[in-house]
Amino acid sequence: MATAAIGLGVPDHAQSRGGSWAWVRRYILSTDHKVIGLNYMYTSIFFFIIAGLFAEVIRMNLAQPGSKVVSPDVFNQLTTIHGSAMIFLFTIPMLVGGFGNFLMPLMIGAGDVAFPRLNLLSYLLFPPAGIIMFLGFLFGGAAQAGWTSYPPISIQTPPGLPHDYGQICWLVSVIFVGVSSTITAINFLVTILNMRTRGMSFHRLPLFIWAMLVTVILTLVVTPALAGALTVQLLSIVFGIPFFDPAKGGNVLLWQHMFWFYSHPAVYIMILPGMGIISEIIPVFSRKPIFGYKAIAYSSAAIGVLAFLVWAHHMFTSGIQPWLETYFMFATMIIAVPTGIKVFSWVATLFEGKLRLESPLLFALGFVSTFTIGGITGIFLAAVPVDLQEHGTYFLVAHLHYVLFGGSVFAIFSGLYMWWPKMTGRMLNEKLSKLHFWLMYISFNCTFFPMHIIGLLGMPRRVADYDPQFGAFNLFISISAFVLGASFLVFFYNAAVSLARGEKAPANPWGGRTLEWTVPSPPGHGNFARVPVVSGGPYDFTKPAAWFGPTPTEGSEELT
Amino acid sequence: MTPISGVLPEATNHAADIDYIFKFMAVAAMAIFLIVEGFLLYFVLKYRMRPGDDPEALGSNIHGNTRLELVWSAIPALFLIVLSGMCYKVYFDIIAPHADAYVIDVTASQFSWTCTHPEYNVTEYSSCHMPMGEQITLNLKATDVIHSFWVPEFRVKQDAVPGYPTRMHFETTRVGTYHLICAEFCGVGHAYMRANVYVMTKSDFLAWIKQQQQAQAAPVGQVSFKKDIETLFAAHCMACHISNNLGGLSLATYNGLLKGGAIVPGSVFKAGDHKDSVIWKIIQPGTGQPGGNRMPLGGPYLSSHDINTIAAWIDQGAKNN
Repeated sequence: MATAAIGLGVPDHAQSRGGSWAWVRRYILSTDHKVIGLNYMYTSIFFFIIAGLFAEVIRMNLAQPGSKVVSPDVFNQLTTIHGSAMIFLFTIPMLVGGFGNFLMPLMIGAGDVAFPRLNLLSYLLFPPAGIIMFLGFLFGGAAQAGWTSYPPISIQTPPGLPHDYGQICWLVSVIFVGVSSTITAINFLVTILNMRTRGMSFHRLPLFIWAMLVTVILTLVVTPALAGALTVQLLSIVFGIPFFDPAKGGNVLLWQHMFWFYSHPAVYIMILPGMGIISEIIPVFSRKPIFGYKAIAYSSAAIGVLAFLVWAHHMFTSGIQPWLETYFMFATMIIAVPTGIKVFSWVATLFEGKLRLESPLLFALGFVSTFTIGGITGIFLAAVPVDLQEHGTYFLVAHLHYVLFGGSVFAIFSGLYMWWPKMTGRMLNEKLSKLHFWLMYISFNCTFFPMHIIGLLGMPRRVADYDPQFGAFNLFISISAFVLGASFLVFFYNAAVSLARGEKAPANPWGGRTLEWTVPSPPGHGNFARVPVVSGGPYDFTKPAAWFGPTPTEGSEELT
Repeated sequence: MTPISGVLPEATNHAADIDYIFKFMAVAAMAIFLIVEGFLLYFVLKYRMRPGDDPEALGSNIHGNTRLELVWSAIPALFLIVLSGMCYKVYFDIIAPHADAYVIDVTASQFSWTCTHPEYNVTEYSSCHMPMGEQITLNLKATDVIHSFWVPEFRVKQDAVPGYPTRMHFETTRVGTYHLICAEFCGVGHAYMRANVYVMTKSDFLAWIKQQQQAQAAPVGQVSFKKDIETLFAAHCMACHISNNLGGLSLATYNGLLKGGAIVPGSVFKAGDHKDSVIWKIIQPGTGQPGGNRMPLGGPYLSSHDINTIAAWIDQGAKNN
């Protein structure tokens, strides 16, 4: 039967039973990592669109001082859900569930993940969890205490309601997403450790796999800590247990420590896969090996370890003990070193390359440029005396968007443009892709760079209104934000046309040397007709692409 | 990353130290930015494939340079060690208490600031007067949720955490009017939780104190809606009544008072007669308030001075003055 444009080359056994619900078995209940990966991507992008629209409403409200496009409590719901959905319902599922699922088994030469049914369970938890987060809007208001949900504000019952149903929905939703993530982490960890194909030693792993390995170890360790924190907050709301009520022996700061113990590693969970993607793209589009393979691999591991040790840099103004503040300041500064090493290595990879300035590389270079700025402002925030001015202001909003949007989102789009042919079997229109890049890159910087300035001058974050002196800046930011939102329309149009009638994609349109390029676009069920045997590293362009075919070859030059 | 001291005055002794570190970092940030972005742009322009180039051409096989990698790891690490040292010193200066400091107790609640001068037994709402040229200690307290005391011109910020008293120490170095802003999300009124900070010469400050002591003892005189009543509403009522979500009543504007609410409709006051005014009856202790609940809902309740101020305003005609 005709396969859909995004279908698989070979139907899997689930489809052979036929019947009117065959599409459910094939597209929703499939245990094939590629179908699951694509499903994660569709669901994530759906939430990205909604969270993005919320951001546009936020910017409409902030375009002028005193404007009341929405009332303050609705504004707070929008900012809370925008942040929460972007983090828990887009960035993490897209990178780990989406790219991780689709690419990881292919890149290590495996037929699927270690536990395919568990993989399906992980995915099936995700859409309901997302819907639950938004259900709050129907029950008197969604969560409105910010994505960080600090008590006591997060556990204050809104006037007029017996319980804060929106907050309860938020907590349940994030617990579900956390369960989904933890299951995936176990699955991926077992897969990477046990199912690498013959010859694929750790030093021949594509850097995306190194990134995923560190990411899933982080996920496995800290997500249960978040689940603990969320459960404690849920118990305090539903049963009134005074964990955070100082009048009854509780402690307000308990939440902050528990929450940030997860949420700081979470930001590395959100950036490491993106960095892995960039490490794959730059060599391919420079036609030369990555510079500093070992440095990049080991620095990912170093970031993974340090990630656990810096959480209270989110709490410098909260009143923690001075010795803790100085420790966290030192530790946070250290983590800049492995991050810097990666940035320098990516730029050095371009040296004496033959650069194809096509959209995947443009987005990757966009990532490097904006992530560098985000990393620099991170150091400003790490310096405690300066953080006292910058914490809780638009300077921080600028920093977080430079690393999460300039970082993760640019990396996600870089990956989408790179692996679109492999995932869908179609090519995108390169002119439209470039248009998307330039619109997004320029409007992104126009939106978020000015925020550094108004933050330093006195505009706090999470405010529905502000001092009129910031009116001109905010208007400029809002207009840029609308252009930024509009730039995605170019991508969606490009995607739709590609899926409907795009040029059919060859197996290896970009000349990559990792294993996913040795199979058809899209790959069939089971991925490899024969077990691939690897005898070299993933960035050796001196060997022709055909050398990396499904048949084993001699020669075992190991790339350092 | 422009230095900010040109635009935002430095009003405490810490501000100069902090701005110095900021400038130091800004210079380093500019350097890193220019080097990284510069090389990126240069390589992109120099090594890009041009039309007519061999499409199969490969880049060079360079994939590492141990010496270079050590250098570009060591230099940032060294810079960060130096930076940490600078920050360590300034941080301990910032948190150091001074035995002879002038103490102000600051209470943060949704959505206003209350400052008490324990030495003179003076309390002010939505403002904070301080003497210039003195060490100040602020004892921060929060009654309901976490707030954060931030005066951008002071360059310091400290959260006020319920159940966990915190302190700030600084010396005021510049006379002027500055902005106290709440910098920790605290609910629907977060954006409006502001106050003016007045740093005055010692003699002006003592004169102000004397004036406050006399006013607090004296009976209520002429009451101004804008100066007195709106301040009271901001301090005690706007947590809920900032728009008309709750009880259908908005106290954000004079018209909101005329319109009244949904539970108790009609104007909240009867001009000239405080005893027959909803707003006066609803803040009384005991039972039998209009709508069935004493306001502010759940407390803290208005002092008798504040209740008398509202009564006086109503009796004086409840004007929008």
